[in-house]
Amino acid sequence: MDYYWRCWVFWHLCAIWNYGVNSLKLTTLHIEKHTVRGNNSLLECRFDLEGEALYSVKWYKDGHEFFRYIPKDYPSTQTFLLPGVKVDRRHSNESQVLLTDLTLASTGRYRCEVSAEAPSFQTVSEHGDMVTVALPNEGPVITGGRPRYQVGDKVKVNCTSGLSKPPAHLTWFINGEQVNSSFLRGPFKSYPEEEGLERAILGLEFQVEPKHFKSGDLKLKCLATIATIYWNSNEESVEGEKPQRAPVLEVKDTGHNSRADRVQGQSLH
Amino acid sequence: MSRVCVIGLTVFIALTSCTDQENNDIGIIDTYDDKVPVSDTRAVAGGVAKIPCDVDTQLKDDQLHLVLWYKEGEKGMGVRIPLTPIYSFDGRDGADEAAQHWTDATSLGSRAFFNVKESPAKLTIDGVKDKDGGVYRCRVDFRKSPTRNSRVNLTVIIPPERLSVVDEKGDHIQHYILGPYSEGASLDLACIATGGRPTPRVTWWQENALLDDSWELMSERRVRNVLRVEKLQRRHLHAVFTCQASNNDLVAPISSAVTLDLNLNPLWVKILGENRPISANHTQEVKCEVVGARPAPHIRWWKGSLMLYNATQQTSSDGNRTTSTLHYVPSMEDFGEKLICKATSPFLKEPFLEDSWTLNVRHIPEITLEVGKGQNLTSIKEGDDVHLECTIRANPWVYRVAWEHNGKTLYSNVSDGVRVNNQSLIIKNVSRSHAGVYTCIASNQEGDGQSNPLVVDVKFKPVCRPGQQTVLGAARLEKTEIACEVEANPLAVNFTWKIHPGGGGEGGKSAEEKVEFDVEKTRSTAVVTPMSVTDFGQFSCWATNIIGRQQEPCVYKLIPAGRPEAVTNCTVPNDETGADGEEGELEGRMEVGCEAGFDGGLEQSFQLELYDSDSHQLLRNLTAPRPSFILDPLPAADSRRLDIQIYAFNHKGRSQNTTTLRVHNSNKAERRTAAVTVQFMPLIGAVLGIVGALVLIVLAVALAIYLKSRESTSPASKRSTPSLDSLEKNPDLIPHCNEYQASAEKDVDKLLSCPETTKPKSPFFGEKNLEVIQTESILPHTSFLHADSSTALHILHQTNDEPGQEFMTLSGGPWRRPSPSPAPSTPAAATRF
Repeated sequence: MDYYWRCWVFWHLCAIWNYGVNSLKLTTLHIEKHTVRGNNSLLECRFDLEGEALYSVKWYKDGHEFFRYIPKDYPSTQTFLLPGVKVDRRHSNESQVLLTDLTLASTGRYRCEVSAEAPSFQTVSEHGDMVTVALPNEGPVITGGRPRYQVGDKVKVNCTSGLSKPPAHLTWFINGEQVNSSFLRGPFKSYPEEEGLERAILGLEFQVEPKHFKSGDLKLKCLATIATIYWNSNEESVEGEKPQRAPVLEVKDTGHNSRADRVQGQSLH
Repeated sequence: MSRVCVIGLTVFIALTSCTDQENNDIGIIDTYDDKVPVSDTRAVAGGVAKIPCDVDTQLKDDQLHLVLWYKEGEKGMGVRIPLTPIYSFDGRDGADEAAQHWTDATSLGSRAFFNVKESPAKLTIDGVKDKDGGVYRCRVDFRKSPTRNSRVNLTVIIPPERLSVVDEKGDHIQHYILGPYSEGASLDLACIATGGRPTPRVTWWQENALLDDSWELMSERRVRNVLRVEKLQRRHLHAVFTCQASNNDLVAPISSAVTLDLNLNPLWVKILGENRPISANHTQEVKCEVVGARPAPHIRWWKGSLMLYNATQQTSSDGNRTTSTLHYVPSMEDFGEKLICKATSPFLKEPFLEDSWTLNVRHIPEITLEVGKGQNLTSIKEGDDVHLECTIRANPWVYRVAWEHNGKTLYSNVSDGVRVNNQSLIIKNVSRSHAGVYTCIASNQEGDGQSNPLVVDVKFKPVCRPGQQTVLGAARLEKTEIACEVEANPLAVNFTWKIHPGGGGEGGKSAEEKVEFDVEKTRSTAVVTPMSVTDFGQFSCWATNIIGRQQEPCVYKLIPAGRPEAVTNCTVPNDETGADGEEGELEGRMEVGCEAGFDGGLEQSFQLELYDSDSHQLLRNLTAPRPSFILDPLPAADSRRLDIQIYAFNHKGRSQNTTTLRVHNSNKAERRTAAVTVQFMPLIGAVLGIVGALVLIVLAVALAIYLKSRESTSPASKRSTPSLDSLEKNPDLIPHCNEYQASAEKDVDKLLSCPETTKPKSPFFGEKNLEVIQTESILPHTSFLHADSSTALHILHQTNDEPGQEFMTLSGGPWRRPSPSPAPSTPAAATRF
C-alpha cells in the first residue's frame, strides 16, 4: 500500500508536470441518471487538450457510436442511428450532445471518448448510465377498505400504481407513519403491458388498535415514487365505529372525487 | 514546475520499479466494458501472439482511417489520465503503403506489427512475454462507418519447464528403465511438473491410453501425478509409461517416458518327455524346461533331497525358455524317488515352481541269500535240516528263481532231501555232500541277478579219507609209517589206534608199545618197525571230533614186503628158435615177453636193458609196468651179439636175478653163457610148479563162482559189515603161503625157509641170498597181492575159504571191483578203505 501510494504521488506530480504541456484530460462528464420519456437530455463532455491537438470526440451508447466530432472532417460532426438516440446536431458540438425525444430505448450507457492527434492518439473516455422513464398516467389507487372499522377489525387493503416503466415504488403510511414491512404484502407486479409498462401492487394488512384512532380518524396513505422524478400519493380516512352506533362508512376519496392529494404529476428536476 | 519535476524525477529514479507498472497501474479510467464483447486468444510465452481485429467495412466509399490498439490495465486510478495506444495504424492518408504504424516503445516496441491485409487483420506480437498478457482493445475508425471497438483477452501461456519421474522411494529413474519390479508388486510412479502457467495438466499414458489424470498441486509451481499400478503382471513387461505435462494445445506437451522392467515367475516348469521306466546304472538324459521366467532362472535338479549337479542349461535367445539337461545314473535305490526339476532365482519368491517324476528304476535282481530264521550257519551238522532263504529285490519282479550248489543247478530231489521252492531251499537230513557254496539266481527283464555265495558248512564225524594206501608192505626191521588220514568237520580231531598184530595171541598191547604215533591235523601216523611177524598185522584208526567218533575205523594192513622176484619164461615170439632155446636172432622188430614174478608185496615195474655183448655197452633201456617189451630194429651196422637183460623192481629194490637173453643181430643168436643157463633153469622149474598150482586154482575158482552165485542176492553193504568184525576177530591177515602157509604163519623165519628150493646156489648172490629166498618164499602171495590178477584173488578166496570175499576186499588195494560181480558195491563201502 505504501508502495502504491508512493507511485501514486509520484505519477500524480509527474502528470501535472509531464502532461501539463501535452496531456489530454477529461474534465467533466454530465449524463442525467433518469430522464422522462419524450423529454430531451443534454450530454456534456468537457476536456482539456493541454496543448494536444484534438483528433476526435466520440459518443457511444452501449458501445455503439452515435456521434462523432472530428475537426479535420467535413462536416466535423457525424451521427449514427441508434434506437432511442436522436441527436440534435445543431445543439451538439465537441463538448455536448443534445438528445431529443427520449424513448424507453434511450436507456443505456453513454460514453464520451476524446482522442488526441497522431502519433500518440492519447485517449480519455468516461461513461454514465441513463435510464429513461415512462411515468404513470394516474396516481396510486387504494382498494379493499371499509368506511368504518372497530378496534379489533382487520384492515386489508391494496395499493395499485398506474402503468409505468420502471414500475413505481409503493410505500404505505398509517396516520403519516411508514408502515413496518411486516404488515405489507408484496410488492407485486402486474403483467407487463405495451412497451413493458407495469403496475406495482402493495398490500397492507393489520388489526385495528385503539391507538389508530388517537387523533380521530384512521388515515391510510399510499405513496408511489419513481427514482427522484415521480412522487404521487393517495390517502383514505376511516372513521372509528362505536359499538352502540350503527356503522357509517365515510369514504373521503371515492371514485374521482378522492381527497387524496395529488402531490406531483410529472417532475423534471 | 521544472523544480517539481526534478524532485519527481529523483523519486522516479529511486522507484524505478514503478516504470514497469505504468500500463497496469495507471492511465486507466474506464474498463470500457460497455457491452463490448471480449474474445479470447492465447499465446505461448516466447511464441507469437496474433490478436485479431476486424477492419472490414460493408459500406461503399468507406475508408479505414485509423486503428488504435489499447491495452487495458487491471487497475484504474480514478484519475483522468489518458490512455495512450500501444499501437496505432494511421491510414487516413491511404490505408496501404502510406499508412503510418506507430508502436509504443515501452510495451511492444518492434515486436508488434499490425497486418491489415490479413482477414481478419491481426496484431502480431513476436517473442511473447508474460507481461504481454491482458485485454487488448482495438478501435477501428472508418470514414463513414461507426467506430468499431473490439476487445481480445490475450492469455500468455508459460509451458511447464520440466518433468521429473521418481519411484516410490523418491529416486529418479535411471536410464528411463523402471525396476525391475517383482511380478505382483505394486508400482507408484510420481511425475512432477515444475513451472508452467496456467497450472499444467499432468497425465500418465500407456501407448495412447490415458491411465491417470488425477494431478494435484504440490506448491505454486509444482504439480504431481502419482501413477499407481496394482499387481504388476506379465503384460506390463516393457510397458512404456509416459508422463505428460501440458497447459495448452499450441505447443507439444513435454513428456517423459520410462520403461518398466519386471522379474517374472515362470509360467511352467516341465520335465520333458514321458516318465518311462529306466534301467539302473544306465546313464539317463532328461530335460526340463522353464518357460516365462525373467531373468533366466537357475534350474536345479534334485533326487529326493539330494541335489544333482551334472546338468547344463541353455536359455533361448529371447530369454523366455530355459532348458536344463541332466545326465544321471539311476541306481536301484532310486526306485520311487522323486526326480525334481526346480526353477530358482534370487529374484523370485518362494515357493519355486517345480515338476517331478517318480522314478521307476528297473534293475537286475539284487539277491541276498541267508540261512533261514532260527538256524545258525556255523552249527549245521549232518542230519540237520537246512533252510536257505533267498531275499530278492527286483523291478520288475522276477519271473524265475534258480538255485546253484557249487556252480551246478540244483533241482528238487526228494530222495536227496532237497526241495527247491521259489525263494527258499530246504534240505532235509543234510549230509556233507550238501556242503558247499550255494547261490540263488533270479531273473527279470533286466537280467539275471546272483546272490552272495553262501557257504554251507556241514559238520560231520570223522571218516576215513578215501584213496589211501591201506596195505603197506614192510621188510623186517624196516621202519614203516602208517598214515591214517581222515576227513572231518571240524578238523580238530583226536585219534585212537588199535593194532591187531599178525602173530595174534598177545593182543594189541605188546604191539602198541613198539609203535610210535604222530598226529598232524587230520593225519595220524603210526611208525612201526616190524621186528617179528607179530609186528605185522592190522592197524585200525579212529578219529573223534566234537561231532562224534568216527563210526568206521580206517584199517591198514602192514604186511611183510621185499624186492620183487625175477621174471620167468621170457620168450621172443618172432624168434622161431625161441621156443626151445634161449638164444634168438634180432631181425626187425622184436617182442620180448616174460612172466612176472612175485612183486614182493609192493607194486612192481619191469626193466629191459639191451647191451652189446662184446663191449657191454648199453644200447637200449625200457621200463614197463608189465614184463612185455617191444624192441625196435637196431641199425644193420650193429650186427653183432646182443644181451637182453630183464628184471623187476619195486620201491624196495630190484629183483635179485636178472634174466638174460642173447640174440644175434641179423644172425642167429648165440647161445648164452652157461652161467646164465644155470641160473635160468631152476626158475623154469619153479614156474612149472606154479603153473601146476594155477591149474588147481582155476578149478577152485570155478567152484567159488558157483558158490558165490548162490548168495549173490545179499547186498554188498551187509557183507561188508561182518567183514570188519571178521577182521578184528581174525588177526591172521598175514598172507598165506599156500602150501607153505602153515609154517609161515608162525614165524618169519619159518616162512623164509619155505621156498627152500629156490635158494640160489651161486656164490654170486653172497649175502643177498637171504633176500632172494625171502622173495621166493612169498611167491604164492603174488597171485593175490598182485592187483592186476583178478584170477589170483579168486584163487585166494577159494583157498582161504574164510573170510571169503571180504578178505578179497581187504587185500585188493588198490581195490578193483570184480567186473562181472552182479551185486553193486557202494562207493561208501569202498571209501572206507
